Amino acid sequence: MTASVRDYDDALDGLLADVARMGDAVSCAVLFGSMARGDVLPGHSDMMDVYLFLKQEVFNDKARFLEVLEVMAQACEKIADRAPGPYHPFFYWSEVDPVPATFDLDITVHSKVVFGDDIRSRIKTTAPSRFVAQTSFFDIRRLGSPLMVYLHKKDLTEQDCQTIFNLLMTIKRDLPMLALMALGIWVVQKESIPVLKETFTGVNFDVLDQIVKIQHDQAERTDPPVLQATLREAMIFVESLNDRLVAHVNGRSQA
Amino acid sequence: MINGEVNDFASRLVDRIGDRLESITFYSHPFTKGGLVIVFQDNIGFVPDLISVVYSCEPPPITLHCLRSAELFQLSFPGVFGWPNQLEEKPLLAYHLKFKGVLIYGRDIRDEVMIPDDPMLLLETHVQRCKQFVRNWALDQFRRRNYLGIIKEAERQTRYLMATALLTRNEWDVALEEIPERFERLFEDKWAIQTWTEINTLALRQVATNQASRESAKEALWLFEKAIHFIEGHIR
Repeated sequence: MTASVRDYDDALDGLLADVARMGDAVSCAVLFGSMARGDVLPGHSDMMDVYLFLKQEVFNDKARFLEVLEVMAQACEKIADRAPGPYHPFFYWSEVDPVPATFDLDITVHSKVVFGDDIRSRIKTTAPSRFVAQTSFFDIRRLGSPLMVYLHKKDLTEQDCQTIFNLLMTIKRDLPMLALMALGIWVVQKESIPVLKETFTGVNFDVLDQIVKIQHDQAERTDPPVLQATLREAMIFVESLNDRLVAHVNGRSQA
Repeated sequence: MINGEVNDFASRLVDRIGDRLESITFYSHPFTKGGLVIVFQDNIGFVPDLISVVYSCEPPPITLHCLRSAELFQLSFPGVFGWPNQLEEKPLLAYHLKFKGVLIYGRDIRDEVMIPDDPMLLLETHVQRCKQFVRNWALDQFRRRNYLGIIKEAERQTRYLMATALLTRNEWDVALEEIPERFERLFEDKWAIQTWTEINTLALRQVATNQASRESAKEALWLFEKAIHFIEGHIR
């Protein structure tokens, strides 16, 4: 079955029906990511990029919390069952709590209120959370270390190809934004690549176009030599960013 | 303690790429089997190729940090607790590496490891990560009917959060099983401790029978929310 944008919309409608079952517990539901921007790539875009902002009193009342939790768990299961692409659970949050800095702009700028009051102007983050965002590039790079074996592995399996493809997508989607955050430049995910190109002059960005090409080409997506060569180019790109960021951090601490 | 498996791996590594290694240091960790900090020489070319060799030397199931000496600052960062990685050795890592790390090969880097400036910031960060990712992870476990896993995780994550809170009282060298008692003694927070006792009791009861109901999993998450709330109250 071919995935369509309609599948994504249907899943969101299903979630909103469940949100309605929670009565007045939900203050606001904010959709962000590709569904909010209107650039869903059916079968590839993930779901469900939603923050459910619950009223604080839900967290103070056991019976109410358990009731809401049950509905959220059921909603999550329905989304997973009908997800036409990668799936992850939505987030639930107290409306009075600061949000993680890595999500702050995407929640407040490139987003849509799909339920309740628009509380986005009241959404804040914190300095410690910004520090986490500013250091995440290095940790995400480290988490990819075990996958470096694919640079040299012979006879890649179908699963190996999928793993490499997922890594390439992470590099394209997340690392540009995280690299900018490391420099204290805050942009939404969608705008991160153009800003990165302006900021990191002298870095070769061609591999990002190559990853987009692979993303849209089923044959290349499962072609081991293409994937392996692209992984190498992608890691050269990541290391160029890393070298500059390491120099930046060390320069700052010596200043 | 370093076991034979770790030493054997380090030997294989030195045999393969010793000429490009600057240092290997082992650290223990109260939550895990510990790890190795493998420092490459600064001008060794394309690092991912070297990391690939490290992982092809059949490492034991411990954490590996492969970096150059100019990148040692990264060991002191708060880390990423994000799902699906529910366990992050940071922020305790820097303490255990600096004060209890064991040099296996090459240059001693322990003096260069920096301790985080303000542990209160680590606690604030950890609280936010619990709200962001443990909740999120748990929602997904309901559809997998992993109720026992939710309960165990709530217990485990509460312990981890208390361990980060202990950093704000300059306590980092605490065994996993001693964390609640140490927290009780240093924080004298009867509500947090009562909540911990309830989570722990629930977990022990369910683990003993090796099964759990959906209702008990939801109960564990309610208690976890309370634990977060009380521990968060200690952030100045």
